[in-house]
Amino acid sequence: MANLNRSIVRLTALGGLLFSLGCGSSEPPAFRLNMVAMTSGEVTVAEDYQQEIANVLDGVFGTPDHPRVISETGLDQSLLDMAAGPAWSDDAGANYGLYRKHCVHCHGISGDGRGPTARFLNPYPRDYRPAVFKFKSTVNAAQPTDDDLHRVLINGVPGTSMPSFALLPSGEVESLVEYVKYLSMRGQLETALTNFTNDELGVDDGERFALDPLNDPEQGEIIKEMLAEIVEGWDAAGDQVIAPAEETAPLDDRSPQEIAQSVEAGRKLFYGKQANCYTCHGPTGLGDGQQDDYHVWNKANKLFMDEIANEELRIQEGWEGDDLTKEDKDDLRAREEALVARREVASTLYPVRNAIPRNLRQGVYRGGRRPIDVFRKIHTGIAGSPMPGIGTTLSEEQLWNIVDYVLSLPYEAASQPQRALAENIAEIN
Amino acid sequence: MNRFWSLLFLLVPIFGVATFVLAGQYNIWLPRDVSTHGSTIDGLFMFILYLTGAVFIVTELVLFYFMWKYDGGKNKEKVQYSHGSHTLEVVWTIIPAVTLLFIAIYQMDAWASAKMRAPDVPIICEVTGRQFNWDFRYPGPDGELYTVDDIVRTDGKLYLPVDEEILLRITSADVLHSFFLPNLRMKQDVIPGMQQSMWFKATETGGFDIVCAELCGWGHYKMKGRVYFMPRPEFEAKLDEMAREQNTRLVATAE
Amino acid sequence: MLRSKPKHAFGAVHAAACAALLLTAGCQQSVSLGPVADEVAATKIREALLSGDGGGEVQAAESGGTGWATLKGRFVYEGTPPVMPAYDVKGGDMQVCSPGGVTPKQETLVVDPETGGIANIAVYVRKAPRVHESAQALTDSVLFDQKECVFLSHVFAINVGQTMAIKNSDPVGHNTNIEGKNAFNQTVPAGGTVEWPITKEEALPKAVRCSIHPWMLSYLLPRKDRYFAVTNEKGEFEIAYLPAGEDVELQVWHESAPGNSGAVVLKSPEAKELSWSSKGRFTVRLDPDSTKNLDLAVPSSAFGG
Repeated sequence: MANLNRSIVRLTALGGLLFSLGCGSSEPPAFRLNMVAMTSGEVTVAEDYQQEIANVLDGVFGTPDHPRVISETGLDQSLLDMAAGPAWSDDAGANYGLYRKHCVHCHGISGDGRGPTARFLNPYPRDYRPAVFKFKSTVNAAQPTDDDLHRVLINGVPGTSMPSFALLPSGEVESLVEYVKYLSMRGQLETALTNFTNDELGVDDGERFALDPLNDPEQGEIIKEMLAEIVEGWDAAGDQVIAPAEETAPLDDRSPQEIAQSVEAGRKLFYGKQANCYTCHGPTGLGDGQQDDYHVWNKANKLFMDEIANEELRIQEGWEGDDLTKEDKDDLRAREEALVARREVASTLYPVRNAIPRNLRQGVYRGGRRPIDVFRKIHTGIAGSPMPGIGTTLSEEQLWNIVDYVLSLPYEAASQPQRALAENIAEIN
Repeated sequence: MNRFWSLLFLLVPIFGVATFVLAGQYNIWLPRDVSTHGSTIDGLFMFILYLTGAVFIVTELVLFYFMWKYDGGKNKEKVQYSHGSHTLEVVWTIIPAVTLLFIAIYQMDAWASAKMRAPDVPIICEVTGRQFNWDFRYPGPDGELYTVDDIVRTDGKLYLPVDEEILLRITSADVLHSFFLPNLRMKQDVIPGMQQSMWFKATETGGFDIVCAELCGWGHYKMKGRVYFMPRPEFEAKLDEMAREQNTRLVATAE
Repeated sequence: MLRSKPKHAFGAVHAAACAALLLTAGCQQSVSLGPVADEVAATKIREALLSGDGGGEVQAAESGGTGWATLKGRFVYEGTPPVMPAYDVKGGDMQVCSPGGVTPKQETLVVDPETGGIANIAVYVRKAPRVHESAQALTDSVLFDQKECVFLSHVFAINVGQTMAIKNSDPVGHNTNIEGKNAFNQTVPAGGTVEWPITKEEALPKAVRCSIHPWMLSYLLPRKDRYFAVTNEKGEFEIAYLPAGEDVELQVWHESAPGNSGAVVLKSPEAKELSWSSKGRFTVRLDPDSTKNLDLAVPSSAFGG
């Protein structure tokens, strides 16, 4: 068996070698910056700042091969070590490099959802860096709990390309959960550093104020504060779980009449002016209502591309202006130059997709099909998507009515035209 | 370099036979059979293997012999062109044709019982392949699929009772997949828009592999699952447990 | 025969292209991936961050001034005021969002045709060295209304601690989707009101949208003190009880300023006097009990024109 394995490995290596003959030397994988954010602002266009941000991130979080954590993050180094680095197994059969083995080809080394296979998927894989997760038990703006991430790994996400990882040993799943949190926190710190650089640093009178916590203790403190705020958000997730009250929740042993009543009440709410579900999910429930909005991940890219188009237009208008001074011309040239980098970044982005409201008649529930999962979605909306919640307006009884109605939709006759009608079956028998 | 090429080609039958002889020792032979019909499939497999194996060895040896005998380096005689032997052509066309016909007839019953004679039992689970997971839908207490009480699982674990006829319905949500249960000697391609059936009877409890046997995209290798066979009462209890979980409305808050 | 030659050449090119494609298929594209961290520098930064004290206490900014003053001003558009197109209204709620076929005008750059004043410019103190008791954050509830599928407050400044009473004065449903640290996304029923407490400060206004009517857009600016103002339709603003006798830095923001930050950048001589920066900030030092009046001309180029 071992011999066989070795020869398979050799053959694969040979194949890989042949395949990559045309490539330059291969570097160890490295975390990359969010270039959309880097080139969106005015200041961070400067590559010096990009380098400094990358250095600080590396200082705090390490590299894909050697993740490091500061104890304040609450992340478990040994779990991260299991998930990070190249994939291999030790003699005892313990697996390492789990992230690269199972996740990286979609979610990418940096957790940006831009692995090599990501472009071909619909929906696109999740970008962990903004730390916005759709399928969770907590309120819209909160982070998911560890259990939530765990659930997604165990059940996969039906209706997407995310498979279940239920067959992995539980320790490995735990390690992947930790690594996803790690990549998220890292992404959040990157955003915070980018904002800080844009807000506070820059060039003034020819002097560049560097992002340099090494020589500027004040910046060091600020970075620690940023990190503390990020970690606080994750720590607080457990307190922000949506837990419906026991008294108002429907019982398991309801009679068919009671269920029908609840479904009917839910139907009225669904198409009513209070809950307004139909405006997006459509008067048919097929998701054919409002389809013009975007998920935040797509929207960020769309705004970026729109801004490039606008800036192109503005520059063009600028050149057409009368009596341009030398200063004006220099300014326009500088802006043109800044656009080059942005266009290059834009060329790497995937096509922007609209957020299409869910077709509720298919019975595919990405966030889980338990009534509690659907309840939470209706209560607080779906983070990162246009889906709003209605929990502040409706009572829990009303929310449960909508849950009952939504869960009954796939079984309505209209959803299953292939099913024989009862009266026809009666004729046949 | 004397006779190099003929000896090199002799390695082909030697390696070919050695692979099969040693496969068992390296655990790359057929996986353990835990089904009632598996022995039929394995019997067919072994019959064809021995038959083709014998032909393979004879053919290879003949090839070797000719290469050895007519080695260009050793033979100084002028090459003579031969049109071949009509009788021989007829013989080695008819013998394989008869053999293939025999196999076709011989396996008919096995094919029919695996693919045509579905048992008259209700569908116990619907298996849906999607890129890149096997999803399972149990009909629930009313025994009918696509009703409110269906139990849907996406965690790649299929639970089934042991020692009874199992009828599965298999579909695809997107592209071609193939639902493969190696330990049950069962494999069925699934085609989007079509419903396929699969039936078998497992003889052992325990967990066995489910794999996708049709390249279905970049995540094909991830389409693994596990089928667990258990006594009927345990299976019922498992269904109950899954139904309860699916009906969760309240959670204990960690306070 | 003559024709076969170029064919061959063509075939060779194809073969070469195929080979090149095959050979490079496994390669990474190396476009705009940005810089990679420098390990040596990163290790030093890590050590500095881990060393704990981080070079000692950070000194609080010295408070040099006494007394309070008022800052007033006006932003005037130089050139021909732009004409706002109507909102791109579509969907099923036309009767409400475009009553009588008249669709409300967009508000991306609202200029008063008579005075040239620019509305919806946010002016606010970045970090107040001192806060007067009349400028302390309020804790009441502030109405944030929407009618005819338009947010009635286009730029909505509010205090951390205040509550947004998000009202829907339309007979159709809306949802209010707030970006940023005060993230919120709830359906507001027709005629209903939803309360949302604001808990976190933002350095720049954040977009507020409605997913049901994607053209609806306004901005929310949550601040910790009352040192903020949004220009009215005449382009005027006033911030009272500002700390006098010391430098106060103010941020000027408008949604149509170029770039993603919304920084309004002025380059006129009077702006230079205020040391107006490329981040859309200026600094004033006010005399106690005085009122400073700024008359700021904004060229169309400040909006990228």
